[in-house]
Amino acid sequence: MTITNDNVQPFETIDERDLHAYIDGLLDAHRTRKVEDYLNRHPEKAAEIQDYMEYNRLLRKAFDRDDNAHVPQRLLSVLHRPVRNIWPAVGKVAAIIALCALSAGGGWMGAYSTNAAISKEDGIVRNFLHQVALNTAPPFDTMPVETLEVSTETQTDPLNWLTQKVALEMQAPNLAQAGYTLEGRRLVTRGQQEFVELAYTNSSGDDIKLYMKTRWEKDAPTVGFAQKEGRSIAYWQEGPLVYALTGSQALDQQRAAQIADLVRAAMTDVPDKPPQVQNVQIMQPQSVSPLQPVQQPVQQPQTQYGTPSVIVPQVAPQGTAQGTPQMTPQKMNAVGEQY
Amino acid sequence: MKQSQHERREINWMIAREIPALRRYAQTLLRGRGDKDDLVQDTLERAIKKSHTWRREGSIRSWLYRVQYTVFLNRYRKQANLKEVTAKDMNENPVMSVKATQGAELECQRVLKALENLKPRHSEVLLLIAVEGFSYDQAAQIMDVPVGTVRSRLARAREDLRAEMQHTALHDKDTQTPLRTTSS
Repeated sequence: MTITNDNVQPFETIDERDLHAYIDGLLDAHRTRKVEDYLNRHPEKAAEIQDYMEYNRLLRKAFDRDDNAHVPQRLLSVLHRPVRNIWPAVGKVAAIIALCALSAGGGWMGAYSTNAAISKEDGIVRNFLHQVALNTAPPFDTMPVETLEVSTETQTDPLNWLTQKVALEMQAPNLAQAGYTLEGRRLVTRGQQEFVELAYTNSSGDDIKLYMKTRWEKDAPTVGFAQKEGRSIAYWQEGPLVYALTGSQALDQQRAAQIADLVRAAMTDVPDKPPQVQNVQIMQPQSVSPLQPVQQPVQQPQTQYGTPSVIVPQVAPQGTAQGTPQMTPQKMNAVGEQY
Repeated sequence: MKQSQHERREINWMIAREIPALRRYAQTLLRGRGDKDDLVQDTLERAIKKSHTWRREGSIRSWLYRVQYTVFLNRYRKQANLKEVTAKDMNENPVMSVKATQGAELECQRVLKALENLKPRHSEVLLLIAVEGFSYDQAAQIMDVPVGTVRSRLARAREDLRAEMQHTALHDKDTQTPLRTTSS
């Protein structure tokens, strides 16, 4: 609503915006005088504005508490928590495998798929089972039950701890230390695969490309399953996490696989319906020893000069007899093409 | 971009200076319906995680208020609207200043009671400007709305508040306190 003053030039019209700004002390000296002149000529409006200014004063008084200045230790301790040496969490958990190819000059680098990497991952699964899942399902083995220590900060939400441990911030890595500058980024599609491609160059004109994709494969990972002394355990690894599902003997392999699918659907951005229940590899019950792998690691072929390769374990199509390990390695090159 | 330790310490120091203001703002948002320090703690945790997104433009206070307002909308507002303010809440999270005189306290109580009947988005903008002292532009950034929306909500908040105050004054025969009194 515009209020037009009598005998006032149009550019000096006082409107509601001026009046509210006057209440809140946001006008300059010249405009303030104009508003006050106007209010002197319109007493009803002046009474309204005066009420609004009084409400401002009462509200400030109502919320003006001296004890707000005394900051509780619990709030200061948030600022003093040690900085974790990871990137901050962003939304859902995602994992990346990075393939790095040097396209100019001789030589190449493979950032993944070495015998050591596979063995290390398998060891992580093994240690996880020993430390947590197996030990919380007595009498699965003879090791004593241990309780995970949870810090006071995460006691109310242990998932915060997990999120901070595994989450990665999606941003282009800064390779300045190696002399490379980011030149471009794009999404590359090869068949069914989508990759992020980051292109870097250095001062000599050499360029490298970094490809990234998530590890959330469309096919479900192999779910290991075992039953022993009245307990069942199903375990799998996907993305940055290892999962172990334990239950009584009533938790059979099919039910375990169904629950695993629900967990996967909840943890991934899978827009389609959850994948079908996969054939589960049945493990022979055996005493678990820290010295023996629970599952044999996938043998990694020697990489060839010129093109790094990765192995994508695949579960055999449905219809295969249960109990038969189905591991059909397929070779893929750096851009996701099979060869 | 990753922050250096020095940058992080500097930001933490700036954030620490704003904690009293955040506590007051949490009070205005919750108005006795919940622990203000819970809201502030959630705000600080989120601010530290997101400190790399602060563009170093303007004061950090506006940015922190925006973080707090977002946390409040996402986690606390529903709870604050549904929960009735009980006497226990007011004792544990009193809104009134302990220094207010009896007369001034009654006036403050009247305006707070009238504020309860405003739409939340109207009262929130009024409190940002009247209590927290932000400009309209800053309030717009905090609430993530256009400046025009801030102005219209503010005007509406004041009109409705005045109507409520006049309504309670007409029916409040026991406390015929003049609207405008001099502070003691």
